[in-house]
Amino acid sequence: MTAFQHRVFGVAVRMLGARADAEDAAQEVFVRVHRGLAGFRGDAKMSTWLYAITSRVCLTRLASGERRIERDSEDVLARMPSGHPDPAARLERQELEAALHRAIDELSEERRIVVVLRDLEGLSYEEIAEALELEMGTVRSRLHRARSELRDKLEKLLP
Amino acid sequence: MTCAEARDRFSDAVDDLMSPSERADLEAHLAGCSDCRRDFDRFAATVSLMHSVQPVRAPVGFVDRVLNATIPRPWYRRFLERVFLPFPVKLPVEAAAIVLVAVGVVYLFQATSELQQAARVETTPVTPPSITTPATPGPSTPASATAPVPAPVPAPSAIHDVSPAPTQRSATMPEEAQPDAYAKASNAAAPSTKAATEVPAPAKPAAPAAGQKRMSLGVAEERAMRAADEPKAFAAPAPPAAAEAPKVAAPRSAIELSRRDMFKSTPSGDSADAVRRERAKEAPPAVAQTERALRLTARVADVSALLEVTDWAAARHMLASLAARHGGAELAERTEKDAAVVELVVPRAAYQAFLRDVASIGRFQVERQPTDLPESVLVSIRLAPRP
Repeated sequence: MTAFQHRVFGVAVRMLGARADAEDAAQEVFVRVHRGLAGFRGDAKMSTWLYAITSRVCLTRLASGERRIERDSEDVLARMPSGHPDPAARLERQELEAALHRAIDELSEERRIVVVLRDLEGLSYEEIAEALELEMGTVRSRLHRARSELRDKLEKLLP
Repeated sequence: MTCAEARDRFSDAVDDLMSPSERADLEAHLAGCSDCRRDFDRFAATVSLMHSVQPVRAPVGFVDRVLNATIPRPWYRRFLERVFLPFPVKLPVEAAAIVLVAVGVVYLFQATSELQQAARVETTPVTPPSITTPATPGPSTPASATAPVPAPVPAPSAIHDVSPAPTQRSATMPEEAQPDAYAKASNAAAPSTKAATEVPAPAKPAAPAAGQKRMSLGVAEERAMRAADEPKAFAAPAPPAAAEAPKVAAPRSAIELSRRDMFKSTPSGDSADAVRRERAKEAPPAVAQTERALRLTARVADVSALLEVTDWAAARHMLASLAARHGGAELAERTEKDAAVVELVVPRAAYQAFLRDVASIGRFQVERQPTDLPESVLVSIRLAPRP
């Protein structure tokens, strides 16, 4: 659990927006994992199984409206260490990432989860298809449309 | 490759999912189309930006909280949390609900007279069975006088209307029986030799016969026979069966006062009877004799009074105690719809002191009292709730 806590929490906070909601969702994920660990078949990677549960929990919460109204500012997410030593460049980078998070948050849920799993968490197309129980073609098309939408929204900020 | 086809492959190109030939076709198109080239560069920059975003880290203590959540809590903790948490919301609501229920219960209690009656009955000691007529311990009591009480109990005033005043008695008694019977009844201490000689001693086996005989007699004859019984009780030593009758002590109920119980030798063993037996033993022989005589008489009360009290049970007990203290005894109790009637016998010498003591119990008012009191005054006190 220690090894996967950041990944699960990362997906939850990208999907739900508020850290408190994300913590609740991540806690629910691990409780489900704890209960269903005996039923884990092992024919899939543990990480894929965890992402599948996390995605399901987040999408269920989003669908049921079980989330807080207020969302954490994207600045909070973007204020995380970016690795740029130059303060001006770091500030510019933070603004860019804040815009990126706003744009991700505006995506539809089905596109957002694909982008999060692929571009923020680094899952392969196959893993995404398995976690979300989608066809590969569906994953590719949703990912392409999500990226195109983000590009259009970030057009003014990109070089 | 057209621009649309080229733009559809941007994602595959960024993720390096194209074959070398497909990649070469896309590069060839991008080299010749500046719009597609610019869009592809921005597309790649967006994806690159996302890849460079630092991963989010879980908050400190997250694992501990999850582990605590996975440990099953005891059922009582879950129950308490479900009932009381969050405190600011549930406690005021629960307090309001309790107050609402309490108000509802009080309102319902006040609105329902049956509930009030039930509560009153529960707090009041068990009352003896009611009787409709004064105690008639003699074997000459008609069956109708000792029968169980029907629901509409005759008012005490109806009984007292047959007052000892001669003028009133004359209206209820046949003329030929009235003077002799009343004289004998009022002068209980003076034996009537005629009646005593005519009527055999009230031995136990003779009682049913006498009772059967009197069942068919009229009121005047009945009173005459009662009067005949009284001197007999005073004049001669009581036979064994008759001597036991006074030891039954103060009557507990109409059943106790019935003819059958009067001649039964063993009273019930409850504490009240034990106290009354003691009281009867302690009473002076003259008073005991008088009391015994009165029990054998179907005499109406000499004095009627009203006593308004708050606690009926306590008042009854105190009346019995006062009567005993003044050399008298309690004869009967009965309950009516809104009152209880206690009948006591008090020696004339102690009558005034008894009244003074009774007046200290509650609001006391003598409603009827003859000018000439007999030797043993039969007092009927109606207990009413104090307003």
